Amino acid sequence: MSDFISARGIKRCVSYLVVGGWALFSVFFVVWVVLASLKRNRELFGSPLSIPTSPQWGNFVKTWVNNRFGDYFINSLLVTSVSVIAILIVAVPAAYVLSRGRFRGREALSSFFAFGMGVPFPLLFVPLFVMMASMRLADTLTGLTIVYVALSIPFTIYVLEGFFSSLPSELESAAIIDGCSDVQVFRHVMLPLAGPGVATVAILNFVGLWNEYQLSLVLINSPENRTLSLGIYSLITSMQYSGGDWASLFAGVTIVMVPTLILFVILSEKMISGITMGGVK
Amino acid sequence: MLSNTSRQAIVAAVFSLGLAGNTGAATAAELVFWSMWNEPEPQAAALRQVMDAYTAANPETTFKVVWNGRQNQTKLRAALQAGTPVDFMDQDSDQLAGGLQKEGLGHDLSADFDQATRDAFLPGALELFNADGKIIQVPYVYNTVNFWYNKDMLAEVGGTVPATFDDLLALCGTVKAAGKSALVIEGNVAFYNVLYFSHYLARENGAGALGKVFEDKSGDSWKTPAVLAAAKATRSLWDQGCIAEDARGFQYPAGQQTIALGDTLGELVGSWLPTELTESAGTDFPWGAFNFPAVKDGVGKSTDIEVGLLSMMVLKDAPNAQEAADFVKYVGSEEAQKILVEASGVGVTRKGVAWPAALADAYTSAEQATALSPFGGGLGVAYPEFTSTILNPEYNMMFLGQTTPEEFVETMAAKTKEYWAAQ
Repeated sequence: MSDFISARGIKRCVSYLVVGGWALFSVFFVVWVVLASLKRNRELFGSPLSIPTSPQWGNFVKTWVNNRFGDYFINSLLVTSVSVIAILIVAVPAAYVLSRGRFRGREALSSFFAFGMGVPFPLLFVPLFVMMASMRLADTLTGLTIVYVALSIPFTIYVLEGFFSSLPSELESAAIIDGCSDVQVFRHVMLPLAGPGVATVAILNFVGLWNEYQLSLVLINSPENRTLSLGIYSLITSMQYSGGDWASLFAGVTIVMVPTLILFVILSEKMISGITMGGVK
Repeated sequence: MLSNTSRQAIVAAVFSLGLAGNTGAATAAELVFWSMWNEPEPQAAALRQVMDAYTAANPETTFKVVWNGRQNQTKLRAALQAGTPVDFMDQDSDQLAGGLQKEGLGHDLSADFDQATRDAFLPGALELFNADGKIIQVPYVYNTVNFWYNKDMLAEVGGTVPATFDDLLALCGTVKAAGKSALVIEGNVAFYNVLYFSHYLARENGAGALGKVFEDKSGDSWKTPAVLAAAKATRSLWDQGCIAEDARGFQYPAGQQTIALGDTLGELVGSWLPTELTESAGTDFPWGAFNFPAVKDGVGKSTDIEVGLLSMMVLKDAPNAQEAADFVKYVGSEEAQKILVEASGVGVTRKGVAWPAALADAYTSAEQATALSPFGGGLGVAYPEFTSTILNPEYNMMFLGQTTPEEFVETMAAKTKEYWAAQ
């Protein structure tokens, strides 16, 4: 027994060390970026590990106003929020039908969506740009949102299918016996039960699209339509030739991090329960 | 079967056109310009001023600008494939030469540049990227590659500007004795580090020497004593203590910041360095620049320089090609070039237009240049893939001490032969 306990103790200790070390590593860099955003450039490179002697809040103002991060923030928020809502509107019922319905071609349709996850985005750049341009949607946030929704659906359906499959079918049968239609079963029984799963895909999509860079680089040209990731990139590239205001860059990185951190703080419990849901059925 | 309204509209349109033709009114043109600058950058503001000045003088010409940033050429390529109409664009000259220009997407501007206009450019600048004698791109910003240094520090340690490579090594000793480092590098920027090699080789064998070595398809030119000597000499900068040991681990921009912090004398880099370090070093930093020095028994001149130009290009299928060409020509005028210097602090391509004070030595270098090469001896323009995937990483490994100079030349000889065999 004592052998078992000590073996389990060591295992737990190692787990804590690994997870703790990882957490410390991540937190260290987040804190470092935030501190760097409050320094002068000279202080940033002269004493990279110090606490800012006189915090330069002006770096945030400079980034938000001069580098138009205010506009980019709104663009990102708009595109990402609308995309996530649209993805859920399309993918949740689709995943439900694909996981619980019994009809010819269901498996082929599921495989088709799964196949969509394997298509490398760079292969789509030119056809997507041509299609968007022909529909006059290139260089528009609407066009970018449509592309985001279309390309996120396979992953979302794939994940949600797993969640819906893990829900007990007895509840569905009980609801039907009580006189619910298919839509009512979905709306009043299965959807609430799949809440953690829906929250999980919402967060994963939000984070993924919030940080998305490649597609927006190809599809967006006008500075007024840039998203935050494009804003960060333009700030980095403008270091060459125009001068390296690295502290303002870190202010920009901090601005980018804030919404995802807030989202994690609010929804982390739901997300974790969603991720672990399949394992306890 | 046209309706009365349609007929009336057509008659009115024809009448209006005829009227315009009779009165000789100029055709209004909105030139679409895709730019490598971001809107908040001073260079964008300066170009905006130039465009405003042009429109003031030519009211029929206006501009629609897309401030794309440095990925301009990449974005433009996708846009052109989708049929987006663009009149002209700008980008780093070497990238253009290996990109849109090489793909034949540039409009020939030769007829628009008479001899007087051509002569107004600093030596070699307009011709550097000519394609078969044709002017496809027009440089408007000029960056030289020099050793950029702190003049006050040089005076404090009692050093002088080196005329030869041996003088440079001696200067390293002087600076080291004063407790500082003479040079710094960015460990992760291989194309900066290759500048040492391309310059040394050019001083030994003349401008463009690196390209000639590579174009020997047998690969044997890499094994010549001059190439090995260049590799060994540049590596000796570490052995002689010119570069601080910890610089091997510097990631851009850590190295150049040590100049601003007063720990290092200088760096071999482009004349954009003073601008890049303005935030850290301040606007009154005592910048100086000198060319890569001569080497013993070398045939190359110390006035042969490597440059990084920024150019404008009118696109082959531009809807308003002639109007765009006229504007690009105007960007090279004294009036426009002065605006660029004053509003954005860059070096420009026109003779006689003084560069900002921090770049004064670079202007002298450009004015006295006897031969120009693009970065790294120009290999990156003609053979971009080989340069980025073979030469730069292999050289960087040797330079940072992971392989020997002998291994470097052997590898390059083998890889060069392999490259040409696959063509």
